[in-house]
Amino acid sequence: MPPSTSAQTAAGTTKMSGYLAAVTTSNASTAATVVATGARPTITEQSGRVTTMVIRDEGANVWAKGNYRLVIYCAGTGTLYAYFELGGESEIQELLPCAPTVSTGTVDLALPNDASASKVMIIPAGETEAAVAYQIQRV
Amino acid sequence: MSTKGLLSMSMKPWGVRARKLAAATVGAATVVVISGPAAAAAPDPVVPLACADMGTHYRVFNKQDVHIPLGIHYKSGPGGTVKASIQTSLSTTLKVSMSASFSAGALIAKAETTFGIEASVTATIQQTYEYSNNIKAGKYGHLQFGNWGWRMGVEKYTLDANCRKSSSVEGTVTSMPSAASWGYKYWETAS
Repeated sequence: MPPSTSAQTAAGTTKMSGYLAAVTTSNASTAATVVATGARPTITEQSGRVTTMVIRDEGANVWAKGNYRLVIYCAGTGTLYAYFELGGESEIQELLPCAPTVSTGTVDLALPNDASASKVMIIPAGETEAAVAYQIQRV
Repeated sequence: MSTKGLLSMSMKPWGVRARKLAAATVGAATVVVISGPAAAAAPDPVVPLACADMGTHYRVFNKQDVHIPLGIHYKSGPGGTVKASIQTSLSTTLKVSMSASFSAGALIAKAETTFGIEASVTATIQQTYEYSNNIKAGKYGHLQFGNWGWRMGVEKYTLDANCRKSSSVEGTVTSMPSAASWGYKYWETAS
């Protein structure tokens, strides 16, 4: 992505603040929630340039056998890919395009046995500028 | 065939046809001087150029993903939930263990070309995000934010004017930050 001007940065920051707030509100925890994240942008600034940020969270704990759902909330522009892994089970999905109002995507995994290690990656495509939050639920 | 014709043929590469022709025309009154082909002119001596790749180079190998921890290490338990709050301005820089000086930029460039990754000498994130994780009953939960970078082996070597390796030092890149991958690592302990 090209370097951003101060005007673009200010306008972008205001929009992003709105996206972050909207996604945070949508990502309320429930009784089924095992992991929950706060809203974060898909872009970050490195050496004065706006760059895409890959979100990657991993756990080294044991997950009991059962069904799990990764629920992703997005607000902004662009498309996200969601990768969800528990033990030896994994799925990757292209989510519905992000929009100014919050959109939701899910990825389901079924664990036939107890498993250790988890991984969630949210990968923005191209010039996606959005706020993202997710939770993992036991369903 | 005249002697002149035979002599002109002798200037050509000595072949079967020439030999047969010479044999057919030899007679008691004819003296044939058969000589081998004239020696080719010696080529100009080759002047070797200096090695095009002369200088310092890096080789990287055995890449492994690593989580480079930054900021606060959160711990909670036993059981319940561990939560991480927003932190600001966290950064990490390339770390190399090697008994030689090195060019950070050149090392990053080599790793990017070799592995197809997007790395950075220094990576900074302006603001992290909240994160919470349920803790298994009786255990303690740990959370730390960080950069998802790499660990790898590195060799710094020099090629001399003859393209021969004149020096070589091996070391370890203990952490090379990625330009764009950030997130949490969670783990549990008994105490």
